[in-house]
Amino acid sequence: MIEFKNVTKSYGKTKALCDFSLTLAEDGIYCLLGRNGAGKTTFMNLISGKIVASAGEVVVCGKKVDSLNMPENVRYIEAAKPQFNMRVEELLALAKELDEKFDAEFAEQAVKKFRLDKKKKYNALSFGMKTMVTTVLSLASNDDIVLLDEPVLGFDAVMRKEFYELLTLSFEKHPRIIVVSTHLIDEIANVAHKIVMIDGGKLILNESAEVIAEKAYKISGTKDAVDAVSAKLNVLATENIGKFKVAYIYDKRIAAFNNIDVEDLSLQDLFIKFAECGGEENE
Amino acid sequence: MNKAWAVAKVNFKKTTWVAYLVAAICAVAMIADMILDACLNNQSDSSVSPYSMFYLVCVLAPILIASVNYSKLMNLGVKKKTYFWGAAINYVVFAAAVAAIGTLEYYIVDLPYAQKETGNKLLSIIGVFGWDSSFVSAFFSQFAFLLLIESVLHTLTFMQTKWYGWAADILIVAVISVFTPIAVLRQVEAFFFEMIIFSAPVLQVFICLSLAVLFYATNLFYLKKRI
Repeated sequence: MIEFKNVTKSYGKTKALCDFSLTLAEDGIYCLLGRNGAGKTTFMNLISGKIVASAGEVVVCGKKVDSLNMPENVRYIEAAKPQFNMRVEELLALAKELDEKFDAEFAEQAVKKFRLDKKKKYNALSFGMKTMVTTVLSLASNDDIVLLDEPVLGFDAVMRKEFYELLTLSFEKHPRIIVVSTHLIDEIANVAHKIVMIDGGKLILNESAEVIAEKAYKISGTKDAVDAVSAKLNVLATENIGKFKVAYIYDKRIAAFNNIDVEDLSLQDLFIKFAECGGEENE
Repeated sequence: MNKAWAVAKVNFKKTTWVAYLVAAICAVAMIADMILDACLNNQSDSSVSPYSMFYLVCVLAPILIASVNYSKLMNLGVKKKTYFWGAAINYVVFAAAVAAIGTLEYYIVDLPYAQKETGNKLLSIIGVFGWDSSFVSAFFSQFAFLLLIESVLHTLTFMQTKWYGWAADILIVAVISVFTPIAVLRQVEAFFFEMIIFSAPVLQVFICLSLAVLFYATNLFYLKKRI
């Protein structure tokens, strides 16, 4: 379990997270969404104990996170950070040497799936391949909490598909909390169990994928009809197109009727609307 | 402890090979110099004892372990405290190994070489620093001194990513440049080096080990701050 209790993290005068509270209690694949600079990496660094909160506390599996006594059951490998320049097979062997729980069999399976050349040295790999290696290193760890920051950065479409399959496989093999930070929102929506949205260092949404699919929609029709229907709904944003109006809703689903169309809102559109309105809910 | 040992093993193999290579090249150069002097019958020439070059391992390894290996180990999921203890194992082993090599070479090669009265001088750290009262003293004096050097270099290197690292550099340069020309302060400086090098063996070992532990322990503070 991960708990953020009124956490504030400041870098000088900049607040990366501000009075942030969140609990991730159940095992699942959590999709962490946020614009650049929203506080996603800070969120992950705080869980892993690489940094500590300026105020409030982060609790992982019942223990307050301390930068010196980093939680043993958290795995956070950043794709952009350097690795020892050795062959991929040696790097995986090294990971096993450093962590007895490392699932070498799963790592082998992942390497085959990604068609990684095990004989190639890390620095000789392409950017996407390097990301793959770090993703494999993370998923093959048997830690209770795995944090993946931009795990598909530099991946082509086929590789991304393979990654999502691998992510699901990893979770099925070892159910745990897996937090995935990504900008490819609609792709991750297919495998994520829960969605966490951060903006400006604040939590703007923490909901299951099913509930979001139910509550996120848009209604369109004549301006008067849309205004009448949306009056008691939580409207994230509106767009006027001549006499017509579109309202983006995050609320209890309504049925379509005569002059009102109801359409599903993709996770990406929902994220954009939330980001545009800064997470403010319009009652 | 197993995890710390695993980190130490990585540190022994990765990046530090640069330190071994530099030390080995320098040692071979010294041996070649000695052989040439002997072959050419160069009188009144002086050479540095080849084992002294292995001190370079204790100078370069902490810099490499603190600057290069830290971030890479962190990125393999190693925890900060495991890294701290793992590097400590490295430094103890490096200091012990270099001290053992130095002591053995001093008593097996350097002393017999000096007694041959070839006219050539063989400068040995053990002899120059007066750690040659006994075999045990030669080993422990070197060990403690090397451990202190490693500890200080590791700490200074590790601090460099933060402002206080630079502040420490400026402070060291300032202390040396201000203390050296002023007689009273120079005495303080001399007293410090006398304590860590020239004092009685037990006292010298005690001071060096205490300072080494003290310096290394401050890394717990810097570790908290470093990502």
